[in-house]
Amino acid sequence: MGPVLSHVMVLLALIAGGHATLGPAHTNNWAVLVCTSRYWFNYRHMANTLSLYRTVKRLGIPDDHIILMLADDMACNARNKYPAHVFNNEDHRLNLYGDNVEVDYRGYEVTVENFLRLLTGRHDAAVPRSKRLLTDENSNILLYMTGHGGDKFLKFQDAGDIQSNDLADAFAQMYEKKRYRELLVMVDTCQAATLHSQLYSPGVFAMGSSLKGENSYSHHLDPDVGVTVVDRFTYYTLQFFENLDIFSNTTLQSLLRSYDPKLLDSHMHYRNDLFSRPLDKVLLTDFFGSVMEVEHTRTSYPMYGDDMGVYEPEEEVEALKASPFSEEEVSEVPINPGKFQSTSDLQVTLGLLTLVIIVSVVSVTLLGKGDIVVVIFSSNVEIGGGYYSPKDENDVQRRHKRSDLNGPAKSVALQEPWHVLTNINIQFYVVIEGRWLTSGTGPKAVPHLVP
Amino acid sequence: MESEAVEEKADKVVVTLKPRPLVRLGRQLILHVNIISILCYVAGVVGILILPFLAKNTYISENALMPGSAHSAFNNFDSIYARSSAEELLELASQNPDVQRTISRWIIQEMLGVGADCYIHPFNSPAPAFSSTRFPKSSGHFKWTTAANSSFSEDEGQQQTTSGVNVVGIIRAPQGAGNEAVVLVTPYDSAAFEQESAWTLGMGVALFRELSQALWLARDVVWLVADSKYGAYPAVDSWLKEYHSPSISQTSTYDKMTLDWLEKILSEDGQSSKEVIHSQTLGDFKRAGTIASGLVYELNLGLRQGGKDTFTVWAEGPNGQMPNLDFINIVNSIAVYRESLQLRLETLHGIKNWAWLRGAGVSLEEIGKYARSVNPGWNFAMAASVYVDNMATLFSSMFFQVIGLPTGAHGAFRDYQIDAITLQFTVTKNGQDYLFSRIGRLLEGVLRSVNNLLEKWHQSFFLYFLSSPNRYISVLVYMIPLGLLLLGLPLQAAALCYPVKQTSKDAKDLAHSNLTSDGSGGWLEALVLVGAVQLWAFFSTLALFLISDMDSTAETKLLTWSVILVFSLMATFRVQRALAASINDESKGSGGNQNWATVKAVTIGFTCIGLAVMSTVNFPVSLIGALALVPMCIGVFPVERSWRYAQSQGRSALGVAALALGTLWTLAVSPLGLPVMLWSLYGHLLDITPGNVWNFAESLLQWRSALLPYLLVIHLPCSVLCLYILLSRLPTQRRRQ
Repeated sequence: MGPVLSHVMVLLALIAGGHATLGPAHTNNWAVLVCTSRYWFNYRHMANTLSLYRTVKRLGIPDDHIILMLADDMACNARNKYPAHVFNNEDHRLNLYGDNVEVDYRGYEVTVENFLRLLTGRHDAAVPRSKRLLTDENSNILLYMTGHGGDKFLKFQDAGDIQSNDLADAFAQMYEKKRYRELLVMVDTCQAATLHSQLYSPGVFAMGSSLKGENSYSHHLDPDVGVTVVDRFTYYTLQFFENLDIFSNTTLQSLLRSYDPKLLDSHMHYRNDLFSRPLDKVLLTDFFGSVMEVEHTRTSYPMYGDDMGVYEPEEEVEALKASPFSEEEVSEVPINPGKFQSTSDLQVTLGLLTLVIIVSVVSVTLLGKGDIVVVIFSSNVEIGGGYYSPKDENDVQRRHKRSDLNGPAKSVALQEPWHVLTNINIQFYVVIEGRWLTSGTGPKAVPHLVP
Repeated sequence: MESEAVEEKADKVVVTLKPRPLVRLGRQLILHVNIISILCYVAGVVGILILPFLAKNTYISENALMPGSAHSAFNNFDSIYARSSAEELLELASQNPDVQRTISRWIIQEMLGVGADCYIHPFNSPAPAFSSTRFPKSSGHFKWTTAANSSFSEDEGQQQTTSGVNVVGIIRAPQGAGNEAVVLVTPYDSAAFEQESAWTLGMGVALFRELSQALWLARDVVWLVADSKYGAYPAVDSWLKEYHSPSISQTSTYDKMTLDWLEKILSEDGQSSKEVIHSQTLGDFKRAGTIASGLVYELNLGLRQGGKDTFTVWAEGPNGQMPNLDFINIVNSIAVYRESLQLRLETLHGIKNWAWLRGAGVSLEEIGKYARSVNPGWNFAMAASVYVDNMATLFSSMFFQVIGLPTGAHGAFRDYQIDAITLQFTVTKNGQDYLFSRIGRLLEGVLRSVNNLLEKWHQSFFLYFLSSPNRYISVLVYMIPLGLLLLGLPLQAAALCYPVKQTSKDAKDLAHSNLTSDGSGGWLEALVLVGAVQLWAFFSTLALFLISDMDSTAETKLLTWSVILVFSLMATFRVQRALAASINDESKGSGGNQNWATVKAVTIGFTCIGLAVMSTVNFPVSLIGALALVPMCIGVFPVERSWRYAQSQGRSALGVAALALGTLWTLAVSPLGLPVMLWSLYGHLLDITPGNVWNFAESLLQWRSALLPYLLVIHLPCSVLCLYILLSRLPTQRRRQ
């Protein structure tokens, strides 16, 4: 009986957590993004952090789960030729400071003390909830830090620095206090690998942009703004992430493989000895995104009974996973005929079809001049940003290129089923004496679905 | 066990009997003091000669500067605008007799046109000595002209009311806090408005227009159009004075003067001009916060050199104070790497032709080649021509610093601890547009880089010499030769106080006998003598200061001063004798001459302290002073003693030669020998007349140059005392009598 029970327990745990590990379930995601250096010439550190902020937000971590620490305000610096704009690329296609950036710690608040307090949760009573890391043992935390570092330290502002053992001890406290389930540390500084050399708490995965004795370099200069705008490591990280969405199955392993020392001018280093899961089984969205699986159970709504027509999202989700592209791009793409989603759809369609046939027959007989009548009907199901099937492999390549780092990709964050609309669009064409008459039902334009 | 302990004790006793290592070292030093001090001096001279080898490549120390990281917005349209503005100005100047007013009105209109704050700043004519500001620029020769002074006094007689008028425009930084500013200065000569001034102003207008559209300004930009009728320095200086410490008592008259002048220059269209004056508050002196940096630039007519467009950087401020090295570095890096303009540092004519310098260059090149052949790692060979170029640059910079006068209007900023430099661009007669746009881009780039700076200039060096535009010699290196030069002095003084013979016992006795026989009396007498001469030197400085206020010709002043000097020196010696006699009466009763050795020791002490202090005020002055005074202080002996030595049996040829050299050197750098030597060496280059000498001294006084205190307070008493030692009689001879 004993073994059977334990098997059942494991099975239950698997069902509950959705992951093939024992231990606490992964229920929420947090991100702590820290830029530790100030002054105009460190513009790129602010841009790095804001880029990461944008990425994790795009991948579904909400603002109240992101702690953004920016040591300086570049957007409002007098030297900034583009007031209220921060760019991470000289093409200026993407304003990182554009909409709704919530900076939790700014300017001189970004100190070693505040940072350690944030991690360990030892705040003054007056500190608001928005400035606290309200994690628990089910939380996955992403910690991204950038600034000027050296051998086993990272400089904060121009005033102090955090030593690698301080960081390790802070993580140990977090572990003791069950403040995380898994922790991913990503550091983009000079000699970044030295910063995670002394970590000892379980569940921590750490990666840094450079080895001991190596510098981390900036990627490129923006001669219009007059500063370097992004660091190499962050640039290539972002490039990797830009092609991902929340449904991506990309693993940490493939991110780590994507770094090319020739491009970085330094050697990325990671530590997985404290981390229990194999890297090719760790989804990037476990840290950089927040994938909430919402299960609607009938038992939650007993009063509606069986007629409620609970939406089952699996099919649509499967469909979405094939679509890594942004809404605008997709809207340009011809939409393939889809399948009917439900019987009611079928009924409506058949009714319309009948109507169309009647109308066309009537028109042809009335006009008496029709030679050929072609009736084309189509229906498609548009879910979220829609989907398309590529014509060939070249098409895929072309689109991949287009949606690069700075593509205006708006998030396709689908967490609630009412964002999925079923839209049936029937078009019919009557050819009369070489002229096309066209008519149809349903809206032509794709509605904006982004919340 | 016991025996061992005893032995140890015995050892200890022996050790305690031995003098301590420091004492032994001191004794050895004093024993070989002559050789050591000569070696130190030679090493110091060699150290100066190899400074170009010790120079390091410059680097930009401040991260925030980021020179050349931003595109320049100054384009071809702007350069065409600069040129057309210059042509317009030239035409206006040729049409209107009153150039100052015409130009000022035109500039005010331009400034108001781009929406800048604008005002005028009239200033009074400066003191006559200011006209000697231009001497370093006068074709590179060391020449101070009295012509400027005389013409000035004539001018004063003719038009009493003439004064300079600066026009100032301020662009407020669009997003800046408004508490800091960068000053651009374009000097123009309103008395003789020509092509160069027109170009400078045209470039100024174009750049100002461009900057008025810049969104990246974090500091306000102040454009000071300096009326350099009396030289650029007085114009900038008076503006800075007014900026930092407005004279409250004179405010009303100043305002009235300003308004009167404004109405005059804008009088053409009557009533409307008054409206403009009042609506734009052209008469108010406006400010823009702390001045962070100053940039003076002017476009000069000249030829391209070596197929390259060049410009000259002037950096030496008053008393050799230099701006931060980063400032020159950013100008150099933007000029060379982006605009392909060649930066030059001014060298005096003639230095490159010095035969001994060329000889040193060739021999050092050979040594370098030889060293490399011995060990390929010793790769310090430098071509002789490069060496001569570097030395010429170094010597020229030292020369400008020795004179202690700033080399341009940037010196006025230095008085307020503001870093500033002057850029002189060389433009060929046709003034190509491409060069104009390069100059504009360079200036904009420098300004943008300075704009990126967050604090005061503080990262890089302030104490340095440049041996070429991209190689510098820091204070750490150039202090070593001076230290070596001065090291001989304290050693000599110590040797004179404690003469040491070969055996230690003798030495002890001698030292004792020396002290006991002369007693404190000898020291006191020597101190009184040296103190009296020092006081006399201070008095002579004071006399110079007082006489410079006299209303007479320069020759009379010089004569008066010399006479006062001689008589006061005689009086000093009389007083000193009386004092010495009273001291001797009290102590021993044996009056007469002091021991020359004690006098020499005290003189050396004073001189060494004086030179060391001077090195912190103006290093090259101290260096040249050490070169001149150290051999004199070490080599001076009473003529009688030298003569006796030459006659004696135990003489050596080397000793005689050294004594002869010391005597000759003492005579050469003495107040009598030095002018003769200078005249004989540089008489063909310099116009040395009594009048010029006095004017030069007066201008040094006006400019608070450290050269004058050195000459009068260190050099003069030291050389007088050395002459005294040279002529003093030996005590033994006195006894025989």
